[in-house]
Amino acid sequence: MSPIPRAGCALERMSVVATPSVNEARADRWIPTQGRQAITSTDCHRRRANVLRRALQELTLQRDRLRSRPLNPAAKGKLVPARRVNAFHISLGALRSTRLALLASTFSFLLVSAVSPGAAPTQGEGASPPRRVVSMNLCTDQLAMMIAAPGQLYSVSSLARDPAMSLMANQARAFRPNHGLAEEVFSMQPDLILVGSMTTRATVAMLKRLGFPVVELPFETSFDDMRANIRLMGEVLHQTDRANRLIEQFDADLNRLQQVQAPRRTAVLLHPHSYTSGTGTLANEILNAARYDNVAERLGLSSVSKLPLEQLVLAAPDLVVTDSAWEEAPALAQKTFSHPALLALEATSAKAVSATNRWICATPQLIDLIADLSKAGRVGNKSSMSSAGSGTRQ
Amino acid sequence: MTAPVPYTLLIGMLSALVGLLFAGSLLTGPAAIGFTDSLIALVSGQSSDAVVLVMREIRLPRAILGLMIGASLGLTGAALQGYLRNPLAEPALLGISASASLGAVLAIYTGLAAILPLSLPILALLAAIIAVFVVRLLAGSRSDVATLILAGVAVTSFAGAMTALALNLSPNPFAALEIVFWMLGSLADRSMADVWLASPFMLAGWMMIAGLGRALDALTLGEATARSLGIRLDRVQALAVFGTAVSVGAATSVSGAIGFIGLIVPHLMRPLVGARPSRLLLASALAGAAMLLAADIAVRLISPDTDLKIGVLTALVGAPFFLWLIIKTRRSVL
Repeated sequence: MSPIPRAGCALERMSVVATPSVNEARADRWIPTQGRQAITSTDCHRRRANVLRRALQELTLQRDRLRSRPLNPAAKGKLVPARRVNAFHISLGALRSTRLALLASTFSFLLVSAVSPGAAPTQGEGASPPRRVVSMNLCTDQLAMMIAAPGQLYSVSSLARDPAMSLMANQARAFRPNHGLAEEVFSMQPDLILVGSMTTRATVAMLKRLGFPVVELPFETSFDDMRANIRLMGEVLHQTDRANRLIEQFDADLNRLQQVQAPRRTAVLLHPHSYTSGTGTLANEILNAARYDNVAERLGLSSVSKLPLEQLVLAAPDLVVTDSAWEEAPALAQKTFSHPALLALEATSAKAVSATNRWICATPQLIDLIADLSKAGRVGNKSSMSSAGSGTRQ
Repeated sequence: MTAPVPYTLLIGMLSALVGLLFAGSLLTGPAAIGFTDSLIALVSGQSSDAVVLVMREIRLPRAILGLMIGASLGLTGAALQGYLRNPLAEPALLGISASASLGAVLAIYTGLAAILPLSLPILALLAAIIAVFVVRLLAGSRSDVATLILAGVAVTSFAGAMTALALNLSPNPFAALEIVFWMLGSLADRSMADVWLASPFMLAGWMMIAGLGRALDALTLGEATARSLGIRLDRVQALAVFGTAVSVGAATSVSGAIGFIGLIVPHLMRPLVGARPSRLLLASALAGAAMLLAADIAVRLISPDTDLKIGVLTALVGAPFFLWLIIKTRRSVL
């Protein structure tokens, strides 16, 4: 066994009593020396950063992986070099205060993960299309279901089956669900993993370290972002034609909706906890596309921010759009929706209750929401905009 | 010890202060409404509909709740300190507020409060009653300062943990965010419905405590002397415990747990009333109302658009005061 600097681990063994023996037993049995050097040190490091559970998970994953197939040289290079980690460990050994050590080790973990090369998912032009794609994010799930060729997509997140959040709950049942856990995604042995920029960072980092090609779709704050994401999805799935057709269809529909000659009105979105969407949000762009001036924008609010009820009442917008999510599980967050002042506002404003699942993801299905919004308040005083069902536009 | 200020003058000044701050609370808010406009809208309703709505449905309930909850906290702080003869006794420190939060959380997030609105203050005050008894049980009848505070810490952290657990178990993703509200308290966007729900209970609690003045005076001479003066200690205990639990429970069920007001206010008022517990009650109630109204105005002025929690402010003032108090008590004990 090559000499492994143990300073960091020794310190850590004092603070965590029960687990190291289990870990070491496993490591001795399953991990060859070269692998252990990396794993043990990363392990100590991360356990001290209070992510004990995840570290164990990783060890199990590594074990299973080594069991099932020989260590592949490409993946081996991606493990964190032990010496670099241990330099941090030794300097940390001086820190006696638990909290300081926690902070510092979290920080150095960030440094280490920045140093270690991620698995860059470069899909060359000549490469063959991925055949076993796992999507781990509600929004990449839905885009993938629209764009992937039959048989290409293997698993989508379990959220995609939840009609409260997903617009394609029925279609999602055709795929195996995953719950965003590294272990289960690992066992699926995908050749492409799709994640959103909000997907659990630790899990994504681990999957990258394990050598899987991971494609991350950035968070969308505009229709342009959405078009870019659809294009990216088309490229990584090798389905550029389908992706381009989706974009063309969306643009054509959007153009048609913009042709309607009607005076612009004012509207405001009221989310739970009195939050609203202002400048620089997708929701703002949706309102604008439906020919509304967003009151939040007029009040100078950007991104998602608090809208005091007083200001909402004084602004008296033509349309108030509230969420209908989680009505069965009461929380104070939704109490604003039944505040007497807001109810009284209905005398002068139209109120639309909209299903949350229609607002979450930037997909071409937004066009139905835009159409409904531009109709809202025109037909009657009250309108309910429930989920548009699970129809997909191909 | 004689009072440096005549009692009636003190009460008059405190009442005037509360009145001023109440008006100040009505005039503070993110919506820019002129001074006369808002008063006309509030009193006569002769203004645009939106302004009347803001004044009557948003600012008025907030000001009323600020006044009543502050008074409840000040009054119960004074009553607890007198009854337990312990300078550190206070609803929040003894875990009464945190337990009331737990009761309210159980009522709201199980959906019970939606079916039966009364269940909200009732569950909160039941939890508060249990908390008082548990603290008494843990601290024993001697109730020296340290044991009582330790018992309070234990109950507070247990109730806090249970609140966090209940909120984390809720399928509603927003519930977990509301832990902050239940632990630090806020008066933002309360409605008249909250006032109607909580105020009868708070008033009932005040009534129970108001009758305690003479007994608390007698208790300063020790339990045996008080008994010989004809004070029925079991009745005093029942009134103090239930009065505190009912008013703090109801207050917490609409505002979350607001700390330190019940601790600071009686200490500030005590020298002014000549250290007589019976006089301290009314003075503390008024000063508590003034302090919470002032804190609520400050919260709106400091960060108008982030809904800063009131508990943050009261803790900023209260925690250093608490430390000073500990040092002072330790010195006097030694």
